[in-house]
Amino acid sequence: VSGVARLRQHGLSIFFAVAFLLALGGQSVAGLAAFNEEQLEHGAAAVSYLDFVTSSDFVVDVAENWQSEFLQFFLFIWATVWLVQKGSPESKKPGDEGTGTDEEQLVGEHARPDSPAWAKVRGARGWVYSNSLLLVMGAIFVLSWLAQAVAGTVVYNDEQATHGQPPVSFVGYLGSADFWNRSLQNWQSELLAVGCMVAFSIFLRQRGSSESKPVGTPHSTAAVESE
Amino acid sequence: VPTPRTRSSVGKMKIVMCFWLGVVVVGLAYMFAVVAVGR
Repeated sequence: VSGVARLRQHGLSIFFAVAFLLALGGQSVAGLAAFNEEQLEHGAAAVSYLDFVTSSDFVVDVAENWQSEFLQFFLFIWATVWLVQKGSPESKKPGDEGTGTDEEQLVGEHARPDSPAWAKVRGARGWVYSNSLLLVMGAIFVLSWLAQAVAGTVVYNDEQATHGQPPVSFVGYLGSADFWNRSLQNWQSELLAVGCMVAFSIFLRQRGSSESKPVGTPHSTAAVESE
Repeated sequence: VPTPRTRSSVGKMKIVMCFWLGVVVVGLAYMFAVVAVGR
């Protein structure tokens, strides 16, 4: 297999890695410009690029978007275990709700010779591996949300000081309108997009996409059933 | 039984997984480092 063919096997990861780095770089440049516009409006000195990307102002904006994306996938993975949407390729078929049998899941004595090692064992290791995707996405959500809260406290208190107001504690900030405004404005958009994806994919198609049913699949059939 | 070829292909996929996990871990560590120094 040639080098190019090997890279193509990982094209999805490479595309999103490059797009992520470009978007993050773009955010840092646009964020600096917006930050300095405000600095000048308040008669303060402009800051350098390095000062901006190592500031809580930059961190809080990155973290609040990270946490909402990981919450979105955490909820999506968890909800698709227990809930179904008839006709959606994002869902199991009605009646399949739940965690499935060990036989269906190829765990314990039902594991195949080439199954992951942790799928072959029971007990704590088996449980951890059976829930590892949800655990990791959930951990990243919690840590990103914590980073947003800590950086948000610093930014909020900077603004309080600018306006001659007293600072708030970390716990005080967790109850502030600013913290919940930042969190909920991101959550609502993620939840809307997931709901639309689940519902639209019942009736709409994208030929060739793994996120869509094959074009001619009936509306009432989920992709899993059509296989 | 996995052949050397399938083992090497799993190895490449592990690099992909480690890359993304690395991005997240480095990103979170960076964010906590910035707030830890109180900027």
